[in-house]
Amino acid sequence: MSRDADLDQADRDLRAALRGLREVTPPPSLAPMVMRRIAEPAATGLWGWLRRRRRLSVSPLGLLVGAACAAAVVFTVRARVERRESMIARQVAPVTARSSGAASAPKEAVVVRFVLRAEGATSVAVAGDFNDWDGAANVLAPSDGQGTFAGILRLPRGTHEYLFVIDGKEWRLDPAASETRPDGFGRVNAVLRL
Amino acid sequence: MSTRAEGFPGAAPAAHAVTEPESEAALIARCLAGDGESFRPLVKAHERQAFVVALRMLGRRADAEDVVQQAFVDAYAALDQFDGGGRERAFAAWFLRIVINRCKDVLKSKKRTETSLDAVEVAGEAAVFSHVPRGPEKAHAESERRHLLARALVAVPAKYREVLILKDVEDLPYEEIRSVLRLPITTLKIRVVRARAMLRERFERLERSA
Repeated sequence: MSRDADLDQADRDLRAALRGLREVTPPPSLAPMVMRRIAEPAATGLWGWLRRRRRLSVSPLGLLVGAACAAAVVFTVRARVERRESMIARQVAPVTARSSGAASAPKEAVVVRFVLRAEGATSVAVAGDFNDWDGAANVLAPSDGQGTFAGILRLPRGTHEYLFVIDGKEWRLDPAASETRPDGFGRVNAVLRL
Repeated sequence: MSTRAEGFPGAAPAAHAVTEPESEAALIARCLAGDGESFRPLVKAHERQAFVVALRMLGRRADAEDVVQQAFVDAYAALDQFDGGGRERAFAAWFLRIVINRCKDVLKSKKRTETSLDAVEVAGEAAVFSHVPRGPEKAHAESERRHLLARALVAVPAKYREVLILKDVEDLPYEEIRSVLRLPITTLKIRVVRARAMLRERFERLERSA
């Protein structure tokens, strides 16, 4: 019984203290701010949503994530700018080549797209060990009218070396090749591994 | 400079303006007719209670101020949807529901269960436990206990905290709390009992660790 009485008293004390938590004065600026806001012309729709003031709070972790995302964007943009005058050869889905009968047809060929941005060039070709380094065998076509040339070749799996040939006379290394190899004649070839 | 409220029959000065449903209905009708100034007495009449509820729900003065301010603006914009039906304190219940819903939106977005109460205004002399503090040491101790109680309250889950605030802080009758929260009275009573137990447990834990 005494314990129940103690609990009842504790309960009453707690509730009395809770009632005390109502003794709070709202800020004097509250009512004037409300009246000023309701006197503003109502902005509805997207514009109203954009104009509505909000309190922004960000956690330190959120700031770090945001900073990391911003850094990633900057890095990506810089990488694209640095590659503006060249493109790397990209590997597309492998296809099975049909035997032509004229030459030994590989059992499996990989379709490769060669792209080079060469402003001012009238022709761009790709020459490599796959076409006996013939600078006129595989000519790329202008693709965007702004100096970018592209073309697709089917190449057998393996490692290939190649260069671009500009206007039939300038042999240019693919600036974005991830691997290069000296050709033994003072030049460096791009290496493509398929 | 005279205001419309002064000319309204039965209206009192703004600080104690609106206590009768007819007065509130008339002020609301003026607002809907385009007299925005008629909203001021409603703001003055309900700001204290709204602020207390928001402060005890959120635990931060700045958040409570933002919520209450926005709740008033929302209420003004939605006045045409309000239908008091002549019931006493209908506007108060409707407005408190807006305030509590906004508080819950803030809590969801912030997903906080404990908040800093450093900026909370400590209650005045009326906020004491069962005795009156004597001397600065006891006054400080009582102040610390009030602070712990406020922290413990914010740590109670929101659906129990709201009913505890309305019942034990604002001392509203269950019928009015039912209008605010739109829950059956039996549910409210169960939640109040559980909320008190949770609060007591959290308060005692804070006292032990203090």
